[in-house]
Amino acid sequence: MIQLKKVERSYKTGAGQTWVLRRINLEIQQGEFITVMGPSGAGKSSLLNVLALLDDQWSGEYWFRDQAAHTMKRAGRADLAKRNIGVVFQSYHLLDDLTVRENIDLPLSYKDIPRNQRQGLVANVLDRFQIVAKKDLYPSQLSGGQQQLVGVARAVIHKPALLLADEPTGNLHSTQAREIMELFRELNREGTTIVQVTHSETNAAYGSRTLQMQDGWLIGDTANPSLEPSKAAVNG
Amino acid sequence: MNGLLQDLRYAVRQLRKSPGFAITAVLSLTLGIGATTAIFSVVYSILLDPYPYRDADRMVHVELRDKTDRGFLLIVNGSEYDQLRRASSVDDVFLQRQETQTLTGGQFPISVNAGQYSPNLFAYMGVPPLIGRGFTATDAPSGKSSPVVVLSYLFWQKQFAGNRNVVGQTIELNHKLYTVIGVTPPRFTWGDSDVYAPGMPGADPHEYWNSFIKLKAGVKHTAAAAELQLLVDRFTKDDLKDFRHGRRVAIVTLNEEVLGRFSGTLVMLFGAVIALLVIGCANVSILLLARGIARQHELAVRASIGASRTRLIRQLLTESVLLSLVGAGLGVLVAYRGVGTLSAMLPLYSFPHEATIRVNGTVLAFSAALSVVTGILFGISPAWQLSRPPISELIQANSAKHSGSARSRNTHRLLIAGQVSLTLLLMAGAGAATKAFLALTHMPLGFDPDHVFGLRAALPKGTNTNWQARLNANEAIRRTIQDVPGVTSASVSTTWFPPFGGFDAKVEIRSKPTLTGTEAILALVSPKEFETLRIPLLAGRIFDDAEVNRAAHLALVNEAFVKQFLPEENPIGQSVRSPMLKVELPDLLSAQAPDDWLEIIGVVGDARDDGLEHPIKPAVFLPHSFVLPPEIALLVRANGNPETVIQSVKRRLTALDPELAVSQDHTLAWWLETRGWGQGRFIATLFSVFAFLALALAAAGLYSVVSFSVTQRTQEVGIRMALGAPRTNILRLVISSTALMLAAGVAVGLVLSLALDRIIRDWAGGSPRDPATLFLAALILVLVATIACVVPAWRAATVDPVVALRYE
Repeated sequence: MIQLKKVERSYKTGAGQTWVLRRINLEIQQGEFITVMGPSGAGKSSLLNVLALLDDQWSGEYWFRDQAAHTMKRAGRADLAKRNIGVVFQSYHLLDDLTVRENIDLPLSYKDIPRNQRQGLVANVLDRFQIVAKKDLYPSQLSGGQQQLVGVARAVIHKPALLLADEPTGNLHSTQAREIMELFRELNREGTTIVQVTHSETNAAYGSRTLQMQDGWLIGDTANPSLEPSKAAVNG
Repeated sequence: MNGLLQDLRYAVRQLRKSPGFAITAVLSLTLGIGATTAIFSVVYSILLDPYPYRDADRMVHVELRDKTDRGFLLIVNGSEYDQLRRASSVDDVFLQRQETQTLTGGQFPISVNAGQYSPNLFAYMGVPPLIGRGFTATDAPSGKSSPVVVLSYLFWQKQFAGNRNVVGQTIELNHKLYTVIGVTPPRFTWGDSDVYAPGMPGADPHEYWNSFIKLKAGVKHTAAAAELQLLVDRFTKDDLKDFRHGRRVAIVTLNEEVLGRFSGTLVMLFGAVIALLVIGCANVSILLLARGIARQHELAVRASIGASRTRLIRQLLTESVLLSLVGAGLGVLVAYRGVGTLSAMLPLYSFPHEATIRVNGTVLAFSAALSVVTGILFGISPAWQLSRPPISELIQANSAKHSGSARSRNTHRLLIAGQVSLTLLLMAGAGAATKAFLALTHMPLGFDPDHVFGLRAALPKGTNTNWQARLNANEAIRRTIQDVPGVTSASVSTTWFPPFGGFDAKVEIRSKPTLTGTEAILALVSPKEFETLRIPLLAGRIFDDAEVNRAAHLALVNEAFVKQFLPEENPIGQSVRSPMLKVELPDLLSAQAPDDWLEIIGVVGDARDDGLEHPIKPAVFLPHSFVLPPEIALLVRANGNPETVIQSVKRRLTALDPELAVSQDHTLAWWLETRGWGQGRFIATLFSVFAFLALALAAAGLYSVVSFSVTQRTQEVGIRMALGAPRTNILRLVISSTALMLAAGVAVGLVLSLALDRIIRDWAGGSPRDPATLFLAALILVLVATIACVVPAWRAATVDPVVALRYE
């Protein structure tokens, strides 16, 4: 489904450059549930931003379902992301001035789906996530777990092929975190490919594959046990 | 469409969430759009659509000008009219003669402005009457007019209470009955006539009527002027005393004649109000940009879940256009009120009376278009800048607070500098216009206008038809006025209405036979003229009543006359004459040999006699008995409130002769205000209002920028204070960033003021080049701007460092 070839990302800092992603080669199959782990500054979120096509300052090749995202212009990438990718953020990033229903509806409105069709889809998602009673509330009136639930609902309403989650339970307590992770498992069973960034081993256990990152390098991959740090550095 | 509604709903929600921002933005736009709409109403009504007449663009005035480029309208007699109509460049011509008549037959006589017009008037104008019909050639067969009249709308409203059954009724003018055949529509006010009657000049070649020409389509003014010059030269070739002789024909449009330079002034005022609108829009742009920076997180989230750049721009522009529509709506309400005030301020004779100044459909459409355009204009820059947020940075930062890009800070600086420069330009213009107005009002007139009023009294038609009888009647009127309690002195002043122009005539001086091209104002006056106006007698004496009664050939001259023609001689005893005093017009009665030599017996002080803007002309004052028109003009000095004395005078005159028609009874102060410095006051007031509003808006803009900057830097301020920075250091830190844009704005404003000096001088009457004006304007601007910066900066400097450090 996804192929990354020699993907790199750096920032100019003073006289030199800081590398946050180094020669990343990665293949993601349809239906996988991947966990990306590593210490702070390893490049996990940067990798997620590249996969989400939120960042366009990277180099290398990015193939999404045989489409060459690396050759597309910004508008093309944005369109590709809009149709196929959903993102869940650690800080939820809901819009405070929109109700729950409006927040969930927002991605659909950007796809120019007719209003009555959108209303049906939103109603389904509210029902599925059991937040119908909260639909007219604003984010500030919800608990952290409820906000993240809305964040997930917003990310999946347009049935994306790929769901990316950056520390989705980082701001939640354990019960809420478990609810969210169970939801992810359910979505994965239904066919959604999921890539999550987490520090939590508990969360990692929900996945089927774990990637280890350090200093921008991909140093471990449970789907490729032969991948060693030195080989990763050399083989890139 | 759904997306647009969604954006609209969200925009309303955003504005309700930020009432301070919304009020400031809407107020800026209300002022800008409201003022622009009001001024456009005036410009549209006066410049673009002043006349309701058909083909008004081809209607022209033909002026006969002297070498100073000023003159009077072309007058012709009956046979000249026929020749004029046959000119190849002329489509049609109508003639007009205006006189004051008395509406008799009622309880009290009423003065009526009665206009006689050639029968083709209504065909020429192409405007159907409101009621009934206009007169035609059948109403004046073979030059003999039927006793019919068409009433003006205002006269019909006043005298007939707007009764729609007025056609067929009769009115009595000077004891003659006329049948009403129609009523003109409200905007048909040609000649300010109360009644329009058909008429034609008789066979007397000295019976002249005013002529008004409509050129044929496609005829250029230069070609028409050349053809008409030949005609006028032919008319006057056999009569050197014809006062049309030797004059140059000039063709001017109706508006050029009525408005003169005022049209340029109106255009300049429109430019000034557009500058105010731009300042208002810049204000809103600054506010939107500041607010947008604070909303970057929201925009980043929207972009991350699929909003394209176009979509974000559309959302942001929807908010801008909503703001401008609300501002426009309120602005139109402001304009409705403002138009009434503007109309009242407009000097009475500075614009065509046909113009109806109001907020009409065209003006509303202009306002609507303006609001959309301004919404897009002030919204596009912030929308463009904010619609591409650095998504990954903002999402990862997990914070809603951002300081904005260098580009947005530069945009702020440019907008502030632009606002400041335009504000300074408006302030310099206001200073120049005010200075010019004050100079005008303080200009020495050479006479004392306070407590003086003028009036005209028309003798009943057909009475006092010989010279002596008319002189006696005039003197009776003057003495009756003189005897009214409250009157100090009264004088006849036939051909001079100070400080405005008089009768320009060629003069000859006996001791200087070689002098040619000499001209002077001929003022036919009573002996009391100088006492009434408080013009000092500098040498010699004034002629007395007995000398007036026998039309003694005596004269006084003013200082300008002496300086120009007799600088080395004693003027007393010299002789002067004017061939133009021998007039042969049917309504005028002349004394014996009026063009014979006059002995100069006195010299009086200079008094303005050619308007307020031109130097004083040489003048010759002679007894008014030399030429007696049927309508007498008087100047009266009162020792109390002149308005009260005017009423007493009118009552006395009615008692003297109920058929005396009194008109144009106004104080000299009123005339000075309407025809003298009314325009100057209008320009100075408007410019000052615009400058004040611009200053307020620029101060609001500066305050917003500094406040926003302070908010963004709160943590930095906290750190500095925790490290020991004194308050003055914090103040300097905050203000220094705005000082540069303020200085740049002032510099550009000064350059603009100097560059546009010619335009402002020509149309506002004063020059902004004056160092004192520029310095004062810049000083006030800098003071106000400093206060606008210091207030938020002081807030930053007085915040608790602990609070500042915890601020997010």
